[in-house]
Amino acid sequence: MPRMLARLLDIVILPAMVVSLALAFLYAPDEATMHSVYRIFYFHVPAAAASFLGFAIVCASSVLYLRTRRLRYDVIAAAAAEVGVLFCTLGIGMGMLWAKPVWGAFWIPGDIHLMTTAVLLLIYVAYLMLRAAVDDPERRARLAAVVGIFGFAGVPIVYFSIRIVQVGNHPVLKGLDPKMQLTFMVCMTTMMLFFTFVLLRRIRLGDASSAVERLQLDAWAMMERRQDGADAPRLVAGAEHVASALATK
Amino acid sequence: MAAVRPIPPTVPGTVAVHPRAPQRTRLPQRRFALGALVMVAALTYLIVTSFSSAVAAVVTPSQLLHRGAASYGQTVRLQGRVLGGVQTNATTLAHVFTVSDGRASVQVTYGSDLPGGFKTGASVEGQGTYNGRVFTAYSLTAKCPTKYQAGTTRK
Repeated sequence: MPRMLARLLDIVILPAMVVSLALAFLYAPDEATMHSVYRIFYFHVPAAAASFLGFAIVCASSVLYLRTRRLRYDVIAAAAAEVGVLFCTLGIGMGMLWAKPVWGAFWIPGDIHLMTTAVLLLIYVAYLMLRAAVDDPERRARLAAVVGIFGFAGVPIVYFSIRIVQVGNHPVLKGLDPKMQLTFMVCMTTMMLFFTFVLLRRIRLGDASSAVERLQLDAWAMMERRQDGADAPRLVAGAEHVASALATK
Repeated sequence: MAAVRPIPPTVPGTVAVHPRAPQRTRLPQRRFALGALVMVAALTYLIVTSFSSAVAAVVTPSQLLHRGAASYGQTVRLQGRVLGGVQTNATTLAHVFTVSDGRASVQVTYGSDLPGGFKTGASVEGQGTYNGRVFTAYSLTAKCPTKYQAGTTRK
């Protein structure tokens, strides 16, 4: 099923991107106050939404890992966290580019939405750092799952921050011109497809990496058992070869 | 592509210990320390900047006028809506406009480019000082509109 979905996305993603770009830059009208610069909204908001989806997948996969102890869920959580961080960074970057001409500043320290989003990004950067610092796969998966579950608490805080505490320059959008609405929905769908496209590839890479790790551990375990390390380098090289074959498959 | 001989699965009864682990831990630990340092720096920046911006009191024009001489020369954040048009001082090139909260209004002067979201009726916030006659803003930000409406293309 994921392979079929990946193949479908291979076909759909490029036309969807072309349609989205055409709608955003040619079909949607200029905004009355912000004029043309507001068009980054069609990519900024969907990128942020995609990052929230990524962090939700991290949370769900982490729960499933702790319940089943299957490392496959840890691979999915790691992939979703990486892709989520990527989209969150893109969302913040595009927001800053938009804010400078409209608000008059790249970053407004007192804006609660900016602050909570920055902290959310740092939580998931910390999650990735934690993963990089622990070698043992089981321990790494367990620790990361705990951070992945608690870290998700930041997502509703970011979402509701501007809806509950109306401090700062971020508005709560209350209305869109019909043409803008259509463009926004198409761009949101495309961004979600693109997110899935990247995520599936990252999961496949994670599977390959996980296979290499298991094969390397097998090789070293065999070497220790035999007290003869002569075959170990060949086995490790073989594992890396298998991994590269998996990755390019 | 070179043929790879089949690799056996995990050998039963063995413990998978990675002999290279002691060598490998150094680099991740250094990276971890560096990453932690960057994160601490980023968090410190966020805390300090939000604290320093919170130190300057947020006031409306009526609150500013009510304070009277006590607010003269103090850095405050003035919030309100732009009333009327903008004039540009031909000598200093500073923008002069009025900010109102519906009950009182204050004349504001700002010496830099106006943000794109600035227009009559827009909600703005300026950080600066008041001398009893005019509010001199050092920074000025405008809020985005809450409803996006189609407008004419700006050439």
